[in-house]
Amino acid sequence: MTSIGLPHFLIVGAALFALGMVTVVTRRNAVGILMGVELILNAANVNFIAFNHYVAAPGSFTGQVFSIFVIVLAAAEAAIGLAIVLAIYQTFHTIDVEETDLLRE
Amino acid sequence: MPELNPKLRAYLVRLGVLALGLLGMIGAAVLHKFAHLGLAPTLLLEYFAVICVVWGLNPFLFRRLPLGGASLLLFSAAVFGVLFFIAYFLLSVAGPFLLDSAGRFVGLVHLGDLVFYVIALVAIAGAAGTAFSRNIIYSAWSLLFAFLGVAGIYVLLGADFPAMAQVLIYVGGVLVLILFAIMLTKQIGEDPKLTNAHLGLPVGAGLALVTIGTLTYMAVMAPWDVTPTQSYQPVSASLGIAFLTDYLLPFEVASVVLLAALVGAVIIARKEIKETSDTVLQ
Amino acid sequence: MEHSENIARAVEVGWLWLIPLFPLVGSALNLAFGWKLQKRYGKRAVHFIAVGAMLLSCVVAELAFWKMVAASPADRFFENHLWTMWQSGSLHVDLSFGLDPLGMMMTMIVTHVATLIHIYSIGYMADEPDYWRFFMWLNLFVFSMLLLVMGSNFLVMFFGWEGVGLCSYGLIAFWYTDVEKAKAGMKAFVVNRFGDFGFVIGLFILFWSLSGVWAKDTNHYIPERGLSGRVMGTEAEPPRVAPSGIRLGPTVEFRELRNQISDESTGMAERLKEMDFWGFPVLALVCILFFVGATGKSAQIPLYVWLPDAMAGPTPVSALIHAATMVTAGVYMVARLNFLFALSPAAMTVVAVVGVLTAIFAASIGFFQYDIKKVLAYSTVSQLGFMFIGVGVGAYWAGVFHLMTHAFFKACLFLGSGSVILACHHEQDMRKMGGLREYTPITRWTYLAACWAIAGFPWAAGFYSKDEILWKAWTAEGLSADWIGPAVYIVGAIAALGTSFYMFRSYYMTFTGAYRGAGGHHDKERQEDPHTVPAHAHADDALHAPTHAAAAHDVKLVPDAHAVAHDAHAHGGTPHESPNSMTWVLAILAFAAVVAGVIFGWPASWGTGHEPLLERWLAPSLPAAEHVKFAEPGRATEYEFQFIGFAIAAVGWFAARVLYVDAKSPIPARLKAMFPRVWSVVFNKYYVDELYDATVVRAAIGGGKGYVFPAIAALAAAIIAIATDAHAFDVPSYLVHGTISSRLWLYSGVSRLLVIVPVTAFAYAAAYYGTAAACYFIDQKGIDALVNFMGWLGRAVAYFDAAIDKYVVDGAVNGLADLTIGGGRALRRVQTGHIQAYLFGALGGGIALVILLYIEPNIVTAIGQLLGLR
Repeated sequence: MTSIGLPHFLIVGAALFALGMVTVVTRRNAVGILMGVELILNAANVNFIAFNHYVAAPGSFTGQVFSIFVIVLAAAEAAIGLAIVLAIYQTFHTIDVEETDLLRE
Repeated sequence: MPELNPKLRAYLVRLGVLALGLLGMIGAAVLHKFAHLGLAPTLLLEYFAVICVVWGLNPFLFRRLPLGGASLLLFSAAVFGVLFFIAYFLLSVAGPFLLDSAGRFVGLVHLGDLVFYVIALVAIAGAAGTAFSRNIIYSAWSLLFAFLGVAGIYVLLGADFPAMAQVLIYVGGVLVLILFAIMLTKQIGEDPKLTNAHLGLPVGAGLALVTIGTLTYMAVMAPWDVTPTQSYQPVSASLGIAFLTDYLLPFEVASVVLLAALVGAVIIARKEIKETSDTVLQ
Repeated sequence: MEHSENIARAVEVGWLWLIPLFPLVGSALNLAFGWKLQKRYGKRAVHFIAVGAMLLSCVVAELAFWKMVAASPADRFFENHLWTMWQSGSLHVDLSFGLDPLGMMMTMIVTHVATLIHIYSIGYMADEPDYWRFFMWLNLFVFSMLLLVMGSNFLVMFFGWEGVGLCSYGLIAFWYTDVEKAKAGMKAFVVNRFGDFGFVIGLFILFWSLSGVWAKDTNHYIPERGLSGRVMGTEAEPPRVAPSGIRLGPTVEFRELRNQISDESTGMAERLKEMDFWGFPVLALVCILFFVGATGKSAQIPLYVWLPDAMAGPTPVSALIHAATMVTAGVYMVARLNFLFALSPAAMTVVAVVGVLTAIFAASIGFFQYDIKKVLAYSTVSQLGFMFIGVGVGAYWAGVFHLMTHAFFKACLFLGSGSVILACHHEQDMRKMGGLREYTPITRWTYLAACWAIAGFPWAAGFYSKDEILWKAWTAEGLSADWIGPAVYIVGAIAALGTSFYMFRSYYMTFTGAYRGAGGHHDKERQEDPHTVPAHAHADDALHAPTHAAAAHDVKLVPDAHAVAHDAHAHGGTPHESPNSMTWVLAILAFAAVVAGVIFGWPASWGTGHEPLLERWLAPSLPAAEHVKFAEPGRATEYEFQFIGFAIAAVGWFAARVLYVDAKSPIPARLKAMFPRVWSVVFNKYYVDELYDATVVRAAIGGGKGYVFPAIAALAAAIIAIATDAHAFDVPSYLVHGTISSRLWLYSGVSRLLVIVPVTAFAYAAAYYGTAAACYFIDQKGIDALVNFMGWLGRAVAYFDAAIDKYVVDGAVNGLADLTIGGGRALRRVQTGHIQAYLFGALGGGIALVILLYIEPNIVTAIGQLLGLR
């Protein structure tokens, strides 16, 4: 076991990203999909912070700035997404995305 | 003392016997180890303890086995034999090996690394719980742990402010918002099994594995230009100054985005509610 | 006549092949298109083709005839060599036609009588739906007969020989849906086959016997020792030429054979007379075998049994084939080979004796028959017997003359009987006829004229020919023994008496007295009362328009006038005359029957001082005529015999008149009651058919299990052995020494008869039995198995084909369509409407791109190399 280094954090980020992707792709509940999206954004943030810590010059915090913005936008997007979920609920009376297949052939 | 339900009393008897049996198993082992009880009496005692355990455990198994008399003895003997072999294996073969490697391992383990692993585990377990749990509430709960884990990772990486922002915004805002949405969409109260079903989980899992594999490979093989030493500095003040100097434009734009999101969310969610509210008003 | 006149030199005439060509083309056209033509244009189209072809053939034959008349007698050998069919060693077979006076006469008879009968058939077969098939067969028959007559070698003649047998089968079994008629056709063909076998074997032996080694200086034959391979080779041998310019060696050409044998400078005749074939004299053997073929084709004992059954065919067929042309092929063949027959007294005796026996045998059966066509059939057999008497005793021209006159009057009789049958609404039993002279006058007078001719009254044709034959029989000296000739005469005279009797019997029964008929059959389809419906009710077209079109054979046919003759199925109870197409033909033939004798056969003894016209005409074809010896008792005797002939005819006529005129006399019934068993034996044709069935037929069909055949075969062998003075089978000598010939007498005298004849008989019987069994076995196991196998194979191939078509071909086409549809359906499922799925796809694709391009770009290059890029 090597000591903790950049690859470890990147792997954690990758795992979070993959699991978030699984959530987005497989969930039938629309809110669950949004939860997955949050996970993905978190994974990206982890990457930013990790690179900022290990690769950027000491004392620079550009990565952290980015991650703050990502958090902000993730929050905004969560709000909008949930509003859309509510709209879907109003229209289809269900938030099972399998029922919203009007794009079907 | 109220008269107990005969069924309840039977269960309690069984539980008592089960506890007795477990105590007996452990006691026998301890006696053997420290009081130098002979092997044969130890085994005999263990056997009796196993019988008690099996008899006591029987009603609580998901399928109640028809054990009585000779079959109980035989089944207990079989269970005893299995346990004996497992114990033997663990103690004489796997145990020393594990201890040996653990010993080697222990010397290598840094506390900091251990902390990292724990936090990483929490984050990933939370994410896994979000992905794979069947109940939407459990998903949200796991998401909480995922967020907390990520916050911990930020701390390990010396990003104190993002960690705080993570906890405040994500856990305090987004997660609450999600919980409200769940509540509003009235999925609570329905059959929890169906609230968060999956669609095509194996394929998704496969894709996830492939993704993890690819990214891991990249993370490990790529020659990152890592700085030799890492610094841990508090960053909040500098971050605040940077937001208002270097990153002023993105900051303002972000606030505009937030405003737009605010308005938009209200509009999107409100339009439909308006109709129902009209009826409510009338 | 000198030797040089015996040599026939050919004159090449290039257009003789047209004569058989036209009927062949007509037959082919009717075969290919006849059904369609009949459907679209009616029966006119069919008979237009058929009769038109016949007329064209007549025209060309006339041209050839007048050309021959214009040529000098020595040049009357036309040949038309077309191409070489087959050449192997000494065997050289051409497709070539030849016309000498004999062939010319036959050709004229065949073409003209056949044309007349075609015209008759237009009326007779008018209601027949298979009209086109009938005319197709008729034309094909004429083609085959012309091949037979015009063929200049054995093989072309044999081709026609077989062809007329085939057409006879096809025409007898014309209404093949009736089993009895089909059986009659098969019987005719199979019995003919028996005869053809003899013919072919005779041909082989003749061909072999003509080979030899040549003495270099004299060009004489040297007797050949043993069967050498000289006649079998792969290269043509250079032809040897005798001093007189004749080509020598084995040949199948008639003219060359005639030259070789008739010209004494070749020495062929002498050699053949001395040659033996396994102990038998070659000439006798060959001639008798040829005669066996003639018995089959010309219905002599023992192979005559098919001819009465052949009356199952339509009446024009009976007239054409079984009276005028096909059955005369045997006589023609014997006349053609007169030079061979004349060299063998034994053969001549056999021919004459068999002929006379047949004549009287058939005449006796004819006494009691009731079916008018059967009477005529037996009459034909009997008259053929007379013809064979003629050619048997050496009066070749007389036999051929009788052939010609018989063609006319027998055809007239048959056609007249057809007219009578139609008049009586398909009634053939004479007991149900009678009194037809009022209803069918033309038929009556023509029939009477023909009876006059056949009975042999003077100034009708039959008198001249029959008288000549019997006279020559009495005076014949070339037979095996001197008493045979007069014996033949006596028996022949009795047969002539019988002929006159039964012919007039048929006349009186049919035409005199009251009409005994019941009105014939109702039209089965209409079930109408014949007395209420007028006679011409359902005529399809107008007819009975008098025409003059068929007055002579040179006039082109006007098709419309004879379009449909409806009388065949007219309703009404009274008989009536036939349409003009039929009655004109009857008149022409009756006229010919009367005058032909006067023109062609006016005897020398009646004041002309020279031989009859026909005898002079045929002289170049009959070189043996001058070598055959006849006694010359003097004119007075000849007049006596002529008078006897006339008396015989008169007696027969008188007896018939007394017994049968107006059906008033009770004598026939009384006689029948007095001798019932005799009557029954004769009426049942002496049970010959039953005998054959029990022996020969049963043996062949039953796989060789006949039970009487050994005795019959033994009897036949004994007769042959005695009659031909045969030597014993010299097989052991041949096998040991490799030589044939040498008359090795094993025994002598009576002991020879007692030992050799049964041994020979047993050998024949065993050979027959074995052959029958083997043929049966081969037929059952081999041929039937083969045929069934081919059937199975056909079905299997068809099944396989169907499977291929259904599964492979259709499967491919349908599969392609299904593939397209299925592919579309499958691909459509991508459009789930499920955005997550789309996202999944995008992500998966993104990951894949990342992997392929950055992590493992070797994969991409490997794939590229696999596909051959770069």
